[in-house]
Amino acid sequence: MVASPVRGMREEQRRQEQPKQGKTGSEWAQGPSGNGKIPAPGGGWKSGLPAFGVALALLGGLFFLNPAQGREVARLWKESTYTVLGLLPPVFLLLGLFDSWVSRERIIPLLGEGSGIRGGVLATLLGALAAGPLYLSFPIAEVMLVKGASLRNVFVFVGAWSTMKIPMFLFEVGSLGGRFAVVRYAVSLVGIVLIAKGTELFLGKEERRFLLTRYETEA
Amino acid sequence: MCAVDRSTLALYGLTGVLFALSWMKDRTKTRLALKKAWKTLSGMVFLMGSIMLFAALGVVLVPQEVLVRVLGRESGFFGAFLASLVGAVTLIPAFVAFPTAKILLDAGAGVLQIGVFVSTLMMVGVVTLPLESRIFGRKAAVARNALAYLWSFVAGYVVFWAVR
Repeated sequence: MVASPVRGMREEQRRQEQPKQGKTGSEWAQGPSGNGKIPAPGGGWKSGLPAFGVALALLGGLFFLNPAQGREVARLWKESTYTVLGLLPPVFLLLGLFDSWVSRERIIPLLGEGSGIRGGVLATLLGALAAGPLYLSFPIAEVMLVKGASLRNVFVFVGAWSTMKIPMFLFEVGSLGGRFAVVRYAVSLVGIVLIAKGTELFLGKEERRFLLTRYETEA
Repeated sequence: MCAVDRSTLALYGLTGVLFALSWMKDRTKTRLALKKAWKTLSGMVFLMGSIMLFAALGVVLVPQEVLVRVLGRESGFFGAFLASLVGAVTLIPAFVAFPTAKILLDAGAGVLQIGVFVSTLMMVGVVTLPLESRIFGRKAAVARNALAYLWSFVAGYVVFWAVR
């Protein structure tokens, strides 16, 4: 067992690097899940199996009751899965890069507790400039929390992602008309801020602190 | 569909370039990034798969004629309420949802009902609640969705009032 010197050096480097990285969201998957109130984010690949089973059972039932509709569902499923499978790897790879290169110290003044209105505006822009279905925003929100963004800004980000995406807005103008889309967009902007504030208030001090400290670096 | 493919390609290109840069600068960090990416990705594969299956079930099992009947101009608050339920539980991608909403409007659905439908569809995700709870905790995820649900009615009424 002779470890190559190069490898040894890299190992050493890694050991020095890691404490600076702190605990990341995905690493929490293996750690204790806080006080047990909230499941650890990330989770293993098995965590989605029950939902997957239920969905498959429903599809099986539909195939049994109405084969034509079952085939239609299967076709749509295949199509959307291809789309998302194409989208997921680069998104998660970029998230991984972001996670290992950008430190909390860089993000906290931009999106953290004291970032004020500018932080809110930035969170809105980040969400609005995104593309992809809402559930793609959740892992990104997780990394934002890991990097020290405030809860309110993260909720604003998710809200903006859900309903203020620019490409989607353009599409809405095209199909439902400018007036419909613009008015809905404006009302949504007010809405996501109120919803973010409301959600934060509803959580109370204790839970807010728990959600934030769960991601805090231990170093 | 071609546009989607092109933007996906661009995304892959960007990822590749950034990874190459990252690899040249610091291999350890790059490896860490790969490891993190794999962990989050593998943790989500089955949940994403089931979400997409639920979405497909919703699209097929709720036929358009039913929607038009339920969401008619005269259906008032009750119609808006039903629209909100459909919007909250189904998960339809935007490039399907907006043309569908347009068809529904032309077929006689009301602006209020469609406004509420579109808003809940985007902001409320009952199907994705488990995924959201994993990151924000159940309480926060439910609160965000409940508030977004209520706000969708405000959005629907304002749009109705403005478009009229």
